[in-house]
Amino acid sequence: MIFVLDIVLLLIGLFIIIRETNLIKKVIGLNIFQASVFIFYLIISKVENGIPPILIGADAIYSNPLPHVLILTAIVVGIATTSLALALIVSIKKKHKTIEEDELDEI
Amino acid sequence: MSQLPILIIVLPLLMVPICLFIKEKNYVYLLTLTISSVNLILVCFLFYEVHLGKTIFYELGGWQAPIGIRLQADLLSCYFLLLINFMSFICILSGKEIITKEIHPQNVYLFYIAWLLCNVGFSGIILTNDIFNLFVFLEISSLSSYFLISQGMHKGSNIAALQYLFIGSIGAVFILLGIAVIYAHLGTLNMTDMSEKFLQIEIPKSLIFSIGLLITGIAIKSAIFPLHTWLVRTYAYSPSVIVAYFAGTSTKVGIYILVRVFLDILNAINPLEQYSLIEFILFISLVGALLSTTYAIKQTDVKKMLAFSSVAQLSYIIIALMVLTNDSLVASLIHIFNHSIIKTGLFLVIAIIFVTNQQVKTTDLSGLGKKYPYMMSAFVILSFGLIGVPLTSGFISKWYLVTSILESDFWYLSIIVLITSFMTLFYVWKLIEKIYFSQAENIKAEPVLTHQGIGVFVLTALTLYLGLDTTLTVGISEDISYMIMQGINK
Repeated sequence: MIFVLDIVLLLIGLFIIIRETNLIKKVIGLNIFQASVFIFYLIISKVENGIPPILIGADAIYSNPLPHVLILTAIVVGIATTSLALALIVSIKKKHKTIEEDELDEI
Repeated sequence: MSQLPILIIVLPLLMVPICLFIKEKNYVYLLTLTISSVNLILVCFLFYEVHLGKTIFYELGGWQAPIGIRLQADLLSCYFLLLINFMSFICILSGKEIITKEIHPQNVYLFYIAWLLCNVGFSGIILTNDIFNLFVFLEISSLSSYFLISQGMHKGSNIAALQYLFIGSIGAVFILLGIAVIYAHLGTLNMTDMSEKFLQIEIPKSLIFSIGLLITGIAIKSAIFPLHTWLVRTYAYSPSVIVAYFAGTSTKVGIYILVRVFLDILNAINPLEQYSLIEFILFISLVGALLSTTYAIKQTDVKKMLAFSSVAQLSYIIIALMVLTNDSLVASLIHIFNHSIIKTGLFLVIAIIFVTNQQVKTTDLSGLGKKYPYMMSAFVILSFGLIGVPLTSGFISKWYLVTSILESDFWYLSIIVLITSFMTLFYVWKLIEKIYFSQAENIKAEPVLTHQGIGVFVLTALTLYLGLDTTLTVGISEDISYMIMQGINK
């Protein structure tokens, strides 16, 4: 079930990137798209009845911590992508006075 | 010697903050040139170490392989590493004047820094043995390449960079999702470990899903036919040196990931055969080769023409990879190397002659044969290489491509390769006719400095040399293909 929800989120993100003409909205779509994959990693790391992977001094079943670590890296990459995209949008706005893609296509 | 793989990645990375503090563009240029020549020498050492089939491992932080991250340098990675670092060195060497003229003076030092980072990303992708690490390095190189593209003089370069950013990020996220599915099945991120575990399990259906995601992601990154539109736009609008650099490297790195993931990790493409994906990819590449050659003939913009020609050549490489016999693998590896040299050379000539020209129309070339006889004869030799005229390296790779495809089950594909190679003649002839047989009206070209030409002449000489002596390309490719095929037949 949760996989299906995640795929729906992924498709929403992809749809926004393809459909929207406003560049800022496209960036938002890209973020939703990335977030859905991050959530996918968290889903596959979950162990049934597992506790969060924090040392408690006793033996316990805990969820797989590795995907969490991987996703921390991927989040950093995502932030870098977003900030670069926003910086590019600022420079586009300065140069062409618009951030609507259909108006930019005429250039 | 076991330290070499990490040095190749870490040395340029250490230079980046130093360059950020220096800021003076001449010093930064000198540092960049030094570090890329040092890198090239290190790569040559590494190549010498592994050329007899030895593999060098480096465990990061001393953690053993399946748990820690490992760098692995075998013959396949060294072959690509040599190509990438050589191209980077040549382009930096002959690009100084062009970069000073083309890039905003405040951004020149940032430009070199982004270049270093981009090259680190490419080297990292090639050297790492950890699939998640591959994703991270891919993003390092992509993010810096978005910046590099956005620095072009053309008014559309910002837009081209942003569009490439959207497409490239979608591709990267697809790769990330594919890695997640593989990890969920095998519980490992180490490539060698993965390939051993794949042999033990029965391949589940969801893995086909992950393979599809990986193919899509890699196809976006390396501009394989239906997903190639970003390539044409970025080649037309980005700084001309960067085009020369990317023409020889970025798409080839994508092909490297394809070879590594599908032939080395997945031990050939058994899951692909089940769902006749091979026929599907072959069909798409065929259409790609035909269509993009036709588009190339139609173009009046020289850069776009060469970009479409790149897409066609990539289709040949994919066809040869998917036919998957020993010889066709050799052919595709040779073609990657030769095509890189030829295409970088062609773009470098364009970059040097039309320094500040944003758009280079075919008519701009008229009469240049008399004005720059040496430069233009290099251009003509390189474009002969693109067609595959004997005595150039292009002939060797086309010969291997056609004979290897003829001997395989898909022999009829060689007809298409021959036809499209012949069609290449049309657009190359269009350029040559303009260069030598057209009257010059007003030549927009800038004067050429001799030291800029060094890179072009080295690449032209290599094109001719590799057409005569094939020990480097054919010999090494045969060794690599033997190594990969041994793994597949296990």
